[in-house]
Amino acid sequence: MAANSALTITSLDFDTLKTNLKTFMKSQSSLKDYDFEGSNINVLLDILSYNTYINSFYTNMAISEMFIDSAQVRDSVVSHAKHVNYVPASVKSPEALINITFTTSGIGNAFEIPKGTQFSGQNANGSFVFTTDRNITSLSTSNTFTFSNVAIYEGTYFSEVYTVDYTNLNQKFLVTNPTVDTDSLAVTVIENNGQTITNFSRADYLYDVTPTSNVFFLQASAGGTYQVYFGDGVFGRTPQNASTVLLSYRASLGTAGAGVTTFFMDHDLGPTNGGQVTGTSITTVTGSSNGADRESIESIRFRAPRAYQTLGRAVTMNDYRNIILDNFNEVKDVNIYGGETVTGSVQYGKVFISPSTYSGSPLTNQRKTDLITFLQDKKVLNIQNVVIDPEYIYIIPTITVTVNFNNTSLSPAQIETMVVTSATNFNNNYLQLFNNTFRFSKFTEAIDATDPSIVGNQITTQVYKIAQPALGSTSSISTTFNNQLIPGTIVSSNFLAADGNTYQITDYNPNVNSFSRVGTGSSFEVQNTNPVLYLKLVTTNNTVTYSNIGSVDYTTGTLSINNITVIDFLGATGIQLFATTYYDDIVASYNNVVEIDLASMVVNTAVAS
Amino acid sequence: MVTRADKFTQSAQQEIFSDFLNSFGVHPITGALGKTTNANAVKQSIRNLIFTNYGERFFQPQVGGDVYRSLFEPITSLTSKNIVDSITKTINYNEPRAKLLGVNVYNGTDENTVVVLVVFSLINNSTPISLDVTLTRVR
Repeated sequence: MAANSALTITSLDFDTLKTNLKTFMKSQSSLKDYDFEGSNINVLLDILSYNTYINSFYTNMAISEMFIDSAQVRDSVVSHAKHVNYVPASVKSPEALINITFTTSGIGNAFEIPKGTQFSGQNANGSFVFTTDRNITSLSTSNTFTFSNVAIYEGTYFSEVYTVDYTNLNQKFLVTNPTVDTDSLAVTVIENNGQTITNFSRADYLYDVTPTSNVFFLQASAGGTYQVYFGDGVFGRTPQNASTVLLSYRASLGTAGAGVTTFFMDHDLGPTNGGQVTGTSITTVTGSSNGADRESIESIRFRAPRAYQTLGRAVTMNDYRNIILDNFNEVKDVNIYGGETVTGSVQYGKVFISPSTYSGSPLTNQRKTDLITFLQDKKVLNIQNVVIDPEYIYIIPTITVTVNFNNTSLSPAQIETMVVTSATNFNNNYLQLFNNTFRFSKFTEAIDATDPSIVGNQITTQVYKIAQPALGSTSSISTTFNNQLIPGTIVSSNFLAADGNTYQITDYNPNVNSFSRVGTGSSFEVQNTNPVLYLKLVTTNNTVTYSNIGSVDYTTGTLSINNITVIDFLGATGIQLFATTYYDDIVASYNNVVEIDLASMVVNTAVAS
Repeated sequence: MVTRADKFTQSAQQEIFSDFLNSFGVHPITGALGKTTNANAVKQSIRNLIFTNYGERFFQPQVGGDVYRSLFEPITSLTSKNIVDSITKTINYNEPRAKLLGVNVYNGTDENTVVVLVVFSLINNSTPISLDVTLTRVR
């Protein structure tokens, strides 16, 4: 740092800064002891270095926070996202559907469940309060009122009241609770001394917003809170001065409230309906699911620029993906594909939307409807959006690793545990998302890399899908692996049919000689000239019978099962349809997600010769 | 006592080491910052090191004689040895201009002070130089 040398300004390290100052001191001769720790001038250099260090540190931190790429503080990232009109997703209440029947006396023909009516339930995380989000009315001429598929949401309602004061230039209408579910936010403006009560609706863009539109805008504020603000009289109406602004919202605990399956009513609705409730019966249609926690910093960093790219329209596949991920917080990933791309079943004019959720359960019907409605004014005019649940292709690998035990002190059991960990990491890092294909060579490479003592591996795979026909009723099943299957490898798990017998489904019937070997030597294929699925019955005297139940297309991996009546899956979650794929790679396409069934995976060790 | 002849000798010496005074004193006539040079600069430096405690200097926690650590210790031979070791170590590590010839610690006359006698020579001059440092309670 001498006058005649280049400035060294890149370092933030105290020692380097002090060295720079010493270099500078070399250019003068008045005080020569700067290089000795005990000297006074050295102490002075310490102070200068420390001051420079502190300044550099603060400058570095401040400048880091100035860019969305490098900001570490949530408020900074949120503020940058605000520049591109991105509102970070709030906590999202888990939703449950219940049926309620009230037995009453002294109530007329109508019974109302008001908005905010509380229910309670428990899961492993504790007790949770659920509330209704709207007034629901049932009509009946008897004393029994039935409500079906009532949606209840985890969380309780809060409200905040502000008086508009335009003399206060810094007035903000804040939703001060950081656990707010912004989907539940209702804004009411009371004007003309209470004579005019207006509900304002949320606007995210300026499309169709006129000077008289009763809309409010939402933006994230400091500390995880949100701020409501109104139009300027050009885009959106400005509330009158001295009017009252009422913010009402639900505060939720997010994903912690998922998995509640039994609900109890906390409120006595008799008095509010002018009579008595003598009995309440609640049955659960679907337990609470699909909640979400507040959006993370990394998620905001990723999504904000992409939301700006989309600009509130759903035209391209990326538009769909971005706008759905932005607005449906419970959606973990979504695959979009056009109907024209569906092999074997081309459907022009349709866009298929397959969302997977953080909870793993499919979107509820209500949320699917919400999704379609949400996209209605954002899509291209003549396009029909179709929400389709994701389907999972589970892989069961059988792994035998060859180990040179002379190169390791690990036991076979320890090696096997490490292999399971490698497979788990592979599953987490490379699978479980749409379009993430299982690459066999990468998998074997990952297994080999588990430990240097592993000199090779032998891996075979079997895949399965789970079909869940409605129990007790006759239905048909059609499921597609979208991978070519090897004939003769299809077999299902056992299930109990309506006649009380246990059945399997298979494509192999030893009584029908339809299989042939095509090719020579080690290069051959098995072909089946009669691609039929059979219902295999094993009777008590071990007599096996086969009857036709459907067909199989080995090329697309489509299994069609006709008119089957299942009354029990015998301990499984559905009928598991096992098969072996023709190719080692297992492709995830359309609405299929591939993942390894770690619980069923088999790992063995062999001694290297 | 510095004689007039010594002053002439000193002024004729080349200024190898120089530092400003602990007191930040200025020259009474020129107003220039007061300086100490050569052996006196090294003596001042050693004195500073002895009175510096560990952790006192930014990012250099091991610099210093750390003698204040012994402030409430009984004056025993072990305490004296600890002080000698600390001072020896800090001079050897942090004052390369001085070749340490000896450190002696003995009690002050009132039993409430410790006197440290440091004998050293400059690396460019073998003449022994002694430095008395009195460690005393400040309150």
